Amino acid sequence: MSGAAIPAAVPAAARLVGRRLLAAVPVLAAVTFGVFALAAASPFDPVQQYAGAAGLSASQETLDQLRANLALDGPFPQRRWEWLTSAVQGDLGDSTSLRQPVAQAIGERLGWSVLLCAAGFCFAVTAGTALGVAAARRRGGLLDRIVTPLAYTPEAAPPFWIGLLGIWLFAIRLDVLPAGGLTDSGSDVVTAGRCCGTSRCPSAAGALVRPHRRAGRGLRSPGERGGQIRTPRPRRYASGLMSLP
Amino acid sequence: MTARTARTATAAATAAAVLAGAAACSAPGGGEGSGGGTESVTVGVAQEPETLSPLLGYGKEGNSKIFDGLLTHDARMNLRPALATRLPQVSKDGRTYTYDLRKGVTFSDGKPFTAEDVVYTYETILDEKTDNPSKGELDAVESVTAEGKHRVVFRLSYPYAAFAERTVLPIASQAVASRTDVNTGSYNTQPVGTGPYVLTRWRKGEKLSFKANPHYWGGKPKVERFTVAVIEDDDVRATRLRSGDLDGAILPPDLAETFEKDEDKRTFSAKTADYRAVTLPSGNPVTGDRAVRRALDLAVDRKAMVDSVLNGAGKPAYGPLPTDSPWFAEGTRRARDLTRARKLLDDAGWKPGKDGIRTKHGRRASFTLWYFSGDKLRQEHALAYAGDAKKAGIDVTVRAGSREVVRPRLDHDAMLMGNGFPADPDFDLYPTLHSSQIGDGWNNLAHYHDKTVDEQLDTARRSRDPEVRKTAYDTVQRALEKNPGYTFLTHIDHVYVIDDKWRGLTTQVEPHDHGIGAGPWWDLQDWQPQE
Repeated sequence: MSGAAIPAAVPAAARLVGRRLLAAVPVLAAVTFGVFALAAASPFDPVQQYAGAAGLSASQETLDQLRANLALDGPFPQRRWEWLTSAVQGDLGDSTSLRQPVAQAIGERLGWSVLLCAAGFCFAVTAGTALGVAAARRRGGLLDRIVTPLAYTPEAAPPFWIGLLGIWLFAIRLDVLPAGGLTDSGSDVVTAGRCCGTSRCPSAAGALVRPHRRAGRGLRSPGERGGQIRTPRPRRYASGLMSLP
Repeated sequence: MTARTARTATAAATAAAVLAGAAACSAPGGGEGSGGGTESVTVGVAQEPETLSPLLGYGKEGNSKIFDGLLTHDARMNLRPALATRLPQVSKDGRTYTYDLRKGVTFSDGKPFTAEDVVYTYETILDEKTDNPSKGELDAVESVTAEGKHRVVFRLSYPYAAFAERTVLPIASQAVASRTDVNTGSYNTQPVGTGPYVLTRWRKGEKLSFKANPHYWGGKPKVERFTVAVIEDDDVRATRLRSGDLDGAILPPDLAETFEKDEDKRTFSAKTADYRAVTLPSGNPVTGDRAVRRALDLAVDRKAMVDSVLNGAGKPAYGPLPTDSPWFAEGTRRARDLTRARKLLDDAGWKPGKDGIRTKHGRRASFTLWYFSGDKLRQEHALAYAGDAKKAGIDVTVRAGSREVVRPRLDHDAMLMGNGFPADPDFDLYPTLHSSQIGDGWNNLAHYHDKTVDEQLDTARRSRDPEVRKTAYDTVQRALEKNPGYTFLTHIDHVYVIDDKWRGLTTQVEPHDHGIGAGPWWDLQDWQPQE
């Protein structure tokens, strides 16, 4: 490596980062416009979502009051502009489903998401590289014939099913990991040991479950489920598995 | 460096990074498992509360764990004093309720509880800037004032017999809550109350953790730690109960049955006011026809629904009030009578057509019945209802939709609805049947309008004489039998499975919307371990 290459690389990298940042401005503008437009076009009523079960017994007066309080009336370009101007000043608004400021909601979850992704990524890279290299040593050998189908199976299987299988294997059969969350349900503190042990299961299965999780969650804000393995709806699918001892 | 040592070094570095990451996110304190003792209880529920602030509606039915109301319900749903020292004194005109408050009670932050906290709680809920969707439940309140530190006086805008039942509502701490934004502030997630438990942690979508309040005015609870795991999927909840991760859970009846042979577990079938019914809009010429309404009421096989849809965990419903309620009008049970249903339709001029569906003056006896997408229980009720209607010659088309899709159609179409508030008959009967509630939000969806019913509902709402109220509600239920603007189908039991480690567990009569306050753990603070 020559000494001159490094000073040359730094401005190049900075230019790249700068260009990317500049490009992000119109992209973000378009995306937020699209989101507000989609929300306005959908029949989805945020007041009913906010009110939950109580919304079905509330009086019309209360529902109208909520709509006014949540600032949901007015045309969507205007509401988007109001949101955008506050967002630029650092106020991302309030989450109606979590009853707290959006910035706080994201902040509380960021650490766990990073842990989950990092652990999942490390596991995937380590195991994947090791197995891949080992399998490639003897093409068509026993290891290759085991590893290759093993790599395809999670791709083909429904992610929530793999999630359930993971719970069944690690939590019920082997009893090495909790069935959900970062710790046992009864335990309140997260320790390094526990966290380290338990993060493996959610990250491996959680990474697989994620696409389905997103689809199933509909209009809720992303990331609100923390590090939990969430097995989505199709319940009958799972009952065969669940009837196992 | 050989390829192999490089790989080993990378793997070691990776492992170190993972460990460092894990250590970085750890919380202080030693790790404790859930353990097998009786000092901690972990239960699984399907839904978590949206907020823990009473100002936004948390715990309004009582048993909120973190808070107390002025009053509370016992196992038989009788009112008992809690933060009040006795039941309220009510003025002769029924419009003034006076509560004397318990002295020496403190919030979990050590601050004293006074009448100002009560005034603050009710006034904040009623403030139009507060986004509490249930505030309509308090619309009788004209003013609430403190008289000294230990007395609160409510003035009502009309005499309201059921008002005391509303005052199980939890009392918030003014000192803490008023410092934050009521709609989005930290009081929603870090509540401070006077109740038997203190929230230690709420991981949204995962669990809520509580510990016993050592200074609880009712005595420190025996169960030291309480965890509520939020597990939406029924099968996962059952699995985690089986694995010992949970001590108790709410389950659908079919899954609860799988625990029947387990000697260490008990099953509770809680009686409820939770009904399912079909709205029959008056504006639709088919569903508005009294003969059609009565025929449907007679044609429907409620018992079969209880057996097949509810797996036996429920009972037939003939109105919003359950048949085992003291307010139920005996003599209004209706057996299935298909012959009579057919005769009623024949006599009213609804003649069977070629396809078996009746017509009158060229109009087919058919209508659409909606249910909320994804609600399997309502779907099964709706399909069973359509099957029964067909046997009488009425064609019911079952369709699913979201609230937004369904609501605009309900002036004309029917809906499979559910509701139920056990505390007072007024809470269900008035919004469902009184003509003043027509088109008001989701209330009186059938556009039910009956002069006698209106009068009797008003009488029962205003009179504080139990005899007068009972007679009035009997009359309402008999009028409903003659003109069933809704077909009431079932009352649903809520089924819980729990470890058999505590003495004398009970369940209350539960509402439709049953959260942390329902289930055998409604009175967790009084649980005693078995000898």
